Amino acid sequence: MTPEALLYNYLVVGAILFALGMVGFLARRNLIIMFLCAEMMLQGVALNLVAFARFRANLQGQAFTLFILTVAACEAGIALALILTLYRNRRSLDVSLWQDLREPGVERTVDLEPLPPPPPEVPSPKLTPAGVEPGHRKETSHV
Amino acid sequence: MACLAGVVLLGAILFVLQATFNGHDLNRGLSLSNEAPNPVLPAENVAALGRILFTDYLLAVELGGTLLLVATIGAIAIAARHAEELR
Repeated sequence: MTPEALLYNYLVVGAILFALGMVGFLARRNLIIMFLCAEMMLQGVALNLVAFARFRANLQGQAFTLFILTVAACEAGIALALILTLYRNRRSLDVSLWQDLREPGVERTVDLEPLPPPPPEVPSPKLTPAGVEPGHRKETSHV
Repeated sequence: MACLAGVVLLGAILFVLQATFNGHDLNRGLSLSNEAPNPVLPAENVAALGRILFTDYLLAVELGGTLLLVATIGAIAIAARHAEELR
């Protein structure tokens, strides 16, 4: 396989990764899924860098990919912390609940396809009480 | 809608790739230096990578470490509950 063909294959895989990440980022509404799709786009770009580094036979591309991974790790930590905070506030991971954060002057996006209703809560199983409940001692004196 | 956008993006990228690889000699078209057309990578890749990281990119490595530390502290500061909420 010629080096050009090898580079071409790597670039095609990188393009597919990037397109998949973009589709997921635009189509999904779960915050964590969107975050993972952004990571996937990042990996597509990193794959391009490695492919060109191999094609050019220098190490700058690989070194830069290491820095990309470093920044991606930082971003993952911060993003998960932010998602945790948002989840604590609204008890949901849906992005459309956070439209208050949009830019001023932008219209509010209306959901054409509302979320399915949440599944009914399964009642937690109740165990039959076993043993004898100890008698509570009453307060004898009220001062 | 998003799937359509993704398909259009993928098609555009693949079209550009195909045109580039068919139309131009990539070595002459994109080359920025006068090195040999297809040189080979050093045999011990990891050792050479470590060498280049700790010579040419030493400042960037240190900055990356600092960035990781700051991101860790920031993540803890964002996500940690206060002591009163724990009770």
